[in-house]
Amino acid sequence: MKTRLLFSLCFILAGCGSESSSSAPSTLQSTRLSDNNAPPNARFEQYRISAFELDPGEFALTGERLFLKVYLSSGSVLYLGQIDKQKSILLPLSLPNDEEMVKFDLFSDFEGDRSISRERQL
Amino acid sequence: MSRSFIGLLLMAVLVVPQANAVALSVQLKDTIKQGSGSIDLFRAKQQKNNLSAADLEEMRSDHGGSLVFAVDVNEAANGSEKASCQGVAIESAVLTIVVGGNSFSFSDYSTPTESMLAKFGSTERKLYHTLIGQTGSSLITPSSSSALSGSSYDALITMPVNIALDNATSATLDITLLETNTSLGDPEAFYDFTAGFEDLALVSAEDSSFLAGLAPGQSEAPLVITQGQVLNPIDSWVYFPSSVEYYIAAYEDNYPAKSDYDFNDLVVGYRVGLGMTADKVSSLLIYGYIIARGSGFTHDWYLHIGLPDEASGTGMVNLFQAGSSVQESGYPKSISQSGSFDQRLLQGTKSLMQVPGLEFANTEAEVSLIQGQKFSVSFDFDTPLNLADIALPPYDPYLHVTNTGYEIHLPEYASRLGSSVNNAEGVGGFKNEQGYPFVVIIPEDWEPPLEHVDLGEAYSTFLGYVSSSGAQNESWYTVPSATKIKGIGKAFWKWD
Repeated sequence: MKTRLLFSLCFILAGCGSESSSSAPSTLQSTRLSDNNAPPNARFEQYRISAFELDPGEFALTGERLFLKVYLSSGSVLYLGQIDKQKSILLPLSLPNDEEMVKFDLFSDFEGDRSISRERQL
Repeated sequence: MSRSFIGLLLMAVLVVPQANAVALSVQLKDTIKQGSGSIDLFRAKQQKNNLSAADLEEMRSDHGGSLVFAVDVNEAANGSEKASCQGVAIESAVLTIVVGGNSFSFSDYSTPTESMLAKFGSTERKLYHTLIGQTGSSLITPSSSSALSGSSYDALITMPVNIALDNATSATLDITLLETNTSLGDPEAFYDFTAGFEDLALVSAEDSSFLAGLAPGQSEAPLVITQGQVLNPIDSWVYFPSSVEYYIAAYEDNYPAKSDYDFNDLVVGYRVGLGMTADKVSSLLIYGYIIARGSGFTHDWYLHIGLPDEASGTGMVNLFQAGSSVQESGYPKSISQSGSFDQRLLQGTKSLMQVPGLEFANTEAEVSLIQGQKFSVSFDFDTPLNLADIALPPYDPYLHVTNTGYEIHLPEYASRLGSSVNNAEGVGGFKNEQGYPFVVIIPEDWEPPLEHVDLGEAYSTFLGYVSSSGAQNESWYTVPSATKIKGIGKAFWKWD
């Protein structure tokens, strides 16, 4: 299933990438939609799907119960909760097109573990 | 005769005390203020209900050796907090009992929920017991003779007490709420405490089991670590687009004709949360609001989320009157569904959002704003699903225009309603003769254009974004021409 999601996300991201490298905007008659036909490469989506993958095994946390918070720089939370310490987690995130960075905190219920806070470019 | 009479008297003596031994819940006079409280268990909110030491012992026996407190969680909205879901965390709770001049302290306690939280001044999270609840409701307790009947108590604190309380001369609960590091956002912002006071009550076994089963507010609180009292436990939530933000679906409803491009014929905000147990999706929450309606037509609004054929589950649809916790007539509605989730969440938008004497709502200049209805859906899957098997957001928010009989989707989707005029429309349709869609999904900072104002006139960089395939002017929706839009403001339409 993880492979299937990853494949889907890669397909979507590849699609987005090819769109963003398209030609420069055509000459507009005005800023009004009614005066201009939509170009063939028009993009109306304001959100993109980005894959967030994390392998908890890469972080030396002792606690058995691990928790993950994924959020934007504005503080808006995209994921929050317990994760399986033994498995990678793969999440589809729905991000506005002008958001390129997400932050994450990884922490456990073991007092000796230090919280891990990182940023990730998506 | 005389022996029988004595026997009856003896039976009466034995029976009457047992009839009185049913402990009733009592609201206490002291409250938690500014995050702390010293609660005298002998002082009831109404003096006539003051408890005696014998009453306390009855309560303790009723709960098998514990005293159980109910708390009315009464907080301001911070983080993802709102009236229907709010919380605080307990830093400490100590019960001090004085019996025969000797003082006994009890500091072990439990609540149905916990969360990992960072204290003010720290970024390290630890496990704390939490109290979760909601306001604006009347959570009627099952015992009508209870002092709590009709009140809105939420969460429970259970404190084991291993001494008899019959001879107690003093009983005080000192409780301190956790001052969380709110700068970290949720979960800390959610579990902060504000000046608003929290009422407490000592509750009977009947009332405590009722509240435990009700679990008010728990389904949406962030990072809830349950203790087995919630029927459908959730380990984690993944939020689309986030835990506090909404997708805005803005429609042109005159399909298939080209129209005025003001994209305000219907404006709806919605967000979706997927509740996960282990790494599977076990439940679904949807929230949304009607934001504006600038059309002479009336519509039904649906949300379709693609799921595997074998998916099934049951849930509840709520539709709240604007600015109110009171539901519209006919709600809440129970739902059950197999295969994809596809539900009509708004029926008859014109009668739902209406300004008396006016055709439109929230799309004309010089006309006062009104708030729209809020809808919510809670849905539990019979069998948890793989996250990868659920369609990706922003999903398929679609419209059925009652006047014309057409349905309107994003171009990536096909028709779904067998009864619509265009029920054969396939993927790639739903664009007009100029190549524009009839619905756009936009972040919530966007404000709708005024009536008959072209979207490109209200947002002069929109076409630059569209024609550059999104490479330029990515934030077009944040730079409107101020005189061309209806400034509703998300703080206004997101009223809870």
